[in-house]
Amino acid sequence: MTHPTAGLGFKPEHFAEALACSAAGMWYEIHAENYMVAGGARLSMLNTLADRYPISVHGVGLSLASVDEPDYQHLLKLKQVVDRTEAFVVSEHLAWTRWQGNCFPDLLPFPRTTEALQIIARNIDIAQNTLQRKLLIENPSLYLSLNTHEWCETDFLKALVNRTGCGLLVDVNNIYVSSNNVGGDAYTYLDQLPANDIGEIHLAGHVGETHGDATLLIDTHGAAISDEVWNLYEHLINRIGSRPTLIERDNNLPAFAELLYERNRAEQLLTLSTNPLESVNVCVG
Amino acid sequence: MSALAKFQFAFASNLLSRELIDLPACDSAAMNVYRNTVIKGLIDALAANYPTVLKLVGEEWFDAAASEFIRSSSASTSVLAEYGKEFATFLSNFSPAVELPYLSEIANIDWLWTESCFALDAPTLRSFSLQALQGEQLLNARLQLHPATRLCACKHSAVTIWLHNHANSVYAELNIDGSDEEALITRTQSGVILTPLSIIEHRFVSEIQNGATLGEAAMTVLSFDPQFPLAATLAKLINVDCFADTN
Repeated sequence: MTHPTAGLGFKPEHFAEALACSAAGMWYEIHAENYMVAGGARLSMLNTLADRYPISVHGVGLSLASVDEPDYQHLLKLKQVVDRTEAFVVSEHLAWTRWQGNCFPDLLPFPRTTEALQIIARNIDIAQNTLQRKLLIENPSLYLSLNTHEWCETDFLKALVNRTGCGLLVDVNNIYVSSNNVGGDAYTYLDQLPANDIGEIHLAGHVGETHGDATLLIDTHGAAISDEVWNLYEHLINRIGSRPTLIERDNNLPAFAELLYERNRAEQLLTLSTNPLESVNVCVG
Repeated sequence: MSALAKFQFAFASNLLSRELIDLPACDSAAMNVYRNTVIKGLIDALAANYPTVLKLVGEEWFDAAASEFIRSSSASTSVLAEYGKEFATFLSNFSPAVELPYLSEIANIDWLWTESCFALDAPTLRSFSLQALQGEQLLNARLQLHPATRLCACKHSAVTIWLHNHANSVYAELNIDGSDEEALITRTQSGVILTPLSIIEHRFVSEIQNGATLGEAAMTVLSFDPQFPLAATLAKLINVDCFADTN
């Protein structure tokens, strides 16, 4: 396996093409919860994929921003997926998806208070100790302005890194979407992130939706990556150097070739960026 | 209660409530984005696990039933393959489904199908393993169902209706008489399949599942039907990967 550069979200519909892809630096990301099953064809597909390509495990159900501690059974299942794939990175979200045992299929917002920081840092500690791995934490896409924030998001993320030793997964599309929906400048946001703690980058598409008087950008993962997001991405990697970069597409799935085209565009930009990937050691668990 | 707990309690309550509750410091347009995403996500998850129910009733009916289910039974898992186990029971008590008495039975078959898809892997029993056994040994053999094997007994011709409406179905004609029907769901090399069983075949597999030896299971079914084709039935079951190879 070559060093992972730009990768794609793995879709079973593309299994044959994914397996045949010989692009240097190719890797795949999976959603952990889809593989928290005992056996069957889906797991065997994953085993085959993991034999040939580096795998990144991306969780959506750990609910690190819940007031409750992470569900231990869920953590153990996550560990199984991580171990099975010998994942080169493991990531989760700065969000909550669970309230007192009830799960919601969305990444939900919360007021960034000092109290929330302590709770989330505790939850990240528990997760990292159980997984025996560094977690990368992804910035969320926001739709809701809350006037109870005590921290800006970049300072909050930096504080989590400092307290827990976690790394960051920077979703450039989420930054763009959030800055449109709740304000803030996306370039300033990128410039405030601690370069050495960034272990992975996500790129995805979004759509605009009218809700009352407001046009909200929705992080659908169902469209091509916009020019604005590509520009932000170039700006980021010119500052921090090369990082494993994922093209995320979960809906309106196009042909594999179309995803590969976007993936190759990211790979070329990474090659042109000044700092080599090897100098950064944040991905290692 | 911490401030975060208070916020999450109020927010979570709003996600599945019928009417939008005004939350302090929350813009209702944005709150609707989260509500819509959560409800659509749960409906889609249910549709993924109940494709035959969806095909039978159509999207509009399914969405309406799913919305009620979601509000009556919160999701206790973020793993899609585990979500919605109670949907068949819900449908059996769902008043708009009273005209469709087979619907909860169809949902049950869909659920067993999903269970079979993701059950533990294990080697399957091949016929040569049994051929090695002689007379007494064969009668005393206790076979184990493969972890992906599921038995079902249904009312209201549900097996026929399910076969007719399942995505990969090739059954063109639908002749139903509302009778009880039995089936076996197994995971083969080419995927999960459903095999209709006679009531005697179902009893035979059921006896084996409950720990009977082949001889004991045979005695039970032969007492109902002295002509029961034991060898042919066993061959048919082995052929659809019904049993695990425990040696």
